[in-house]
Amino acid sequence: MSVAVEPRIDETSADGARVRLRERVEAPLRSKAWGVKGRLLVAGLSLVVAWGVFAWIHQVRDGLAVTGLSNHVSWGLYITNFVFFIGISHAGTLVSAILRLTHAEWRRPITRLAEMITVVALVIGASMVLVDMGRPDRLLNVLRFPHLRSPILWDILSISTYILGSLIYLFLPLVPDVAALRDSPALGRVRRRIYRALSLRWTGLPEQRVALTRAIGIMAVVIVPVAVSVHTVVSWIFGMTLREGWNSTIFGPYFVVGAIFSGIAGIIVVMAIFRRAYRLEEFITEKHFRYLGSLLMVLGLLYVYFTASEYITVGYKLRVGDDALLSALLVGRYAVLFWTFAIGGTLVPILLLAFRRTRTVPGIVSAAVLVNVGMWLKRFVIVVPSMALPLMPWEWGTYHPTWVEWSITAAAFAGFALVFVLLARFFPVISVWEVEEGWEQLEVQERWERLEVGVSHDGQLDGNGHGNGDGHPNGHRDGHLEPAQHADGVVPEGPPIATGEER
Amino acid sequence: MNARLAAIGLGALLAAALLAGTAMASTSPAAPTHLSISAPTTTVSGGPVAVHVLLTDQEGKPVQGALIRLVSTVTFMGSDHDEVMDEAQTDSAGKAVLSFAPADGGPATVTARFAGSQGLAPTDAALSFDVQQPVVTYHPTPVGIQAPWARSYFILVPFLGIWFTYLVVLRQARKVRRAGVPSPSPQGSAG
Repeated sequence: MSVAVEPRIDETSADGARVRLRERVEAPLRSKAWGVKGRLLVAGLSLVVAWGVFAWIHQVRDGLAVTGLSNHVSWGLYITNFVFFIGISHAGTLVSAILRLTHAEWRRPITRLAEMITVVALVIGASMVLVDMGRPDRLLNVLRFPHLRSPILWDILSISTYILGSLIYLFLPLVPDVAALRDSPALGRVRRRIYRALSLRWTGLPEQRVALTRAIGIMAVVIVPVAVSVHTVVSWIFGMTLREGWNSTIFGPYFVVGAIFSGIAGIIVVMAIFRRAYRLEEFITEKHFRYLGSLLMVLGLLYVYFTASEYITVGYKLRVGDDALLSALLVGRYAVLFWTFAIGGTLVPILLLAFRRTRTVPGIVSAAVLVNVGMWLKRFVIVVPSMALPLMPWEWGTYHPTWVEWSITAAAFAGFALVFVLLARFFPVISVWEVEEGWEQLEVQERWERLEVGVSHDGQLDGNGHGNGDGHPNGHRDGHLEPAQHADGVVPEGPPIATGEER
Repeated sequence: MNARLAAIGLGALLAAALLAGTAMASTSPAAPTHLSISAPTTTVSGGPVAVHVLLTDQEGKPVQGALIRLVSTVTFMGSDHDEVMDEAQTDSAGKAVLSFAPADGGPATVTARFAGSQGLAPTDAALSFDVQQPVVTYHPTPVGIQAPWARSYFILVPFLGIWFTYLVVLRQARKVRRAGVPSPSPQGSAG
């Protein structure tokens, strides 16, 4: 009598890690995965969004008079949010496209989150323009009566092009992952049908891999200049207006650097949240935080340089008008906001990232949160003081956001979180196939290296084609490959997160 | 010995000559002069203003060939300085015409100054103006890049290139779909 024995998977093997990765990533997608906390979170976020929609309807019905905006200060929280979210959207471009183009292998577990951030932030950011218009029914007039010299027209075209490109760029790497999900019995029928439609009949055939890789490669090249141009055009809305504080030739690169700065901070925060919520510590490791933290610090220093360059040149010349604006920013009515940005949003984060003692996951996440808060304040002090500064010998304009604006702002942030949570409920937050591909490449590379070592040492191959390697299925080898390592130095079970080609 | 005496004698002669010169100068003081200035006291900014001056000596006789400077006092770094706007020499009638163009509206003061020469004492005379802003008719001038031939749809040119690239990418996605078997196998996965 024979007993059927289920093949057991060694948890420390590569297969064990693959199983754990799929389990961790796919578990939240199952229909009954909502826990009490999840339901409460979605309910809470939905309530805030609903309140914001109510405030917006109130605004549409009664006009922009219900806001703190006036003909003097006509841009306020909405445009601040718009610039902020467009900035956050650069996370996907940088982390995913640039790291993909430079073959930075460590990017693999975090690209999906970055691409999701881009799409969600773009949608929320673009909707802020609609809210700011007051008469959204007139939006189409921009396209019906286009004016070549209008930065608003450039903005609409570039942002819609960016949204479309980001959607394609999010969708393409999703194809193999949704193909893996389409036959999962744990998922509902409707959901499996959606996955089937999105999977493009993917079965992993070589010709499919070639076409998909080519498509992703083209998009990675195209999306970078598109993203850069979008934030440049956003800066031109200010830079091409004759107003103190905005008359700057460096606004394009200044805004792009600021966008990437806040975008990286955004992805660090989102990464930390999902890492903890989905228990992804094994796959999103401290190394990812350290690498992104280093990028954040470099971008922070670059942003400080741009900021100093901007204000020193203005302050040295001190033209009439500029002096009043600079006084208001540095020692006047906007000084608290400005210095909170300067110290809390750039200096403190840079210091947190600079020292080894604070360059830990909590330290890096704290720095990222501070950067996001600081960059939102920075956008506010770019937009509002220049509008409030009198162009004629009148009094300063005043701007006090009303409950309508605060409600819509809260709804924008809640909407960002809500859409993200829902997206993460329907699609894997880690690009499983790309991580596995990284492992496979690592294994192949390991085998080749063992083979070479075997030939060179023994002059011949051993029986199974291996050289004199250690025989570990994961290709663990001290001093060359880095296993997923925790902050406390403990090396967890599982294969290495692909680092063989770290750049 | 003789050379030493000669040097002493030469020094004594020079000293005597210097003393004599000083004594002569102190005994003949410069003759006072008088400068009169006239110009239309109401003027318009931007336009040149002719300032007429007349330099006479103490007997009222015109002084010829005297250099007259028209200066405006400006305050720079906390101290006053004279900015020379024009200069001219008096003619045989002791007259000179100088001109300047006030840049800003409002009250303005200019000073005609004679620095003194040939036994004539220096003198000056000031004149205040009420400079009015001219009535200007503004004609709008186009600013920025002028390209009347440009059409609004030109903005689409860079975007068409990007959209075309998107189409190329989507074509690759179509290839993925075409390459796949119609009914996915249960093992279908990322591979």
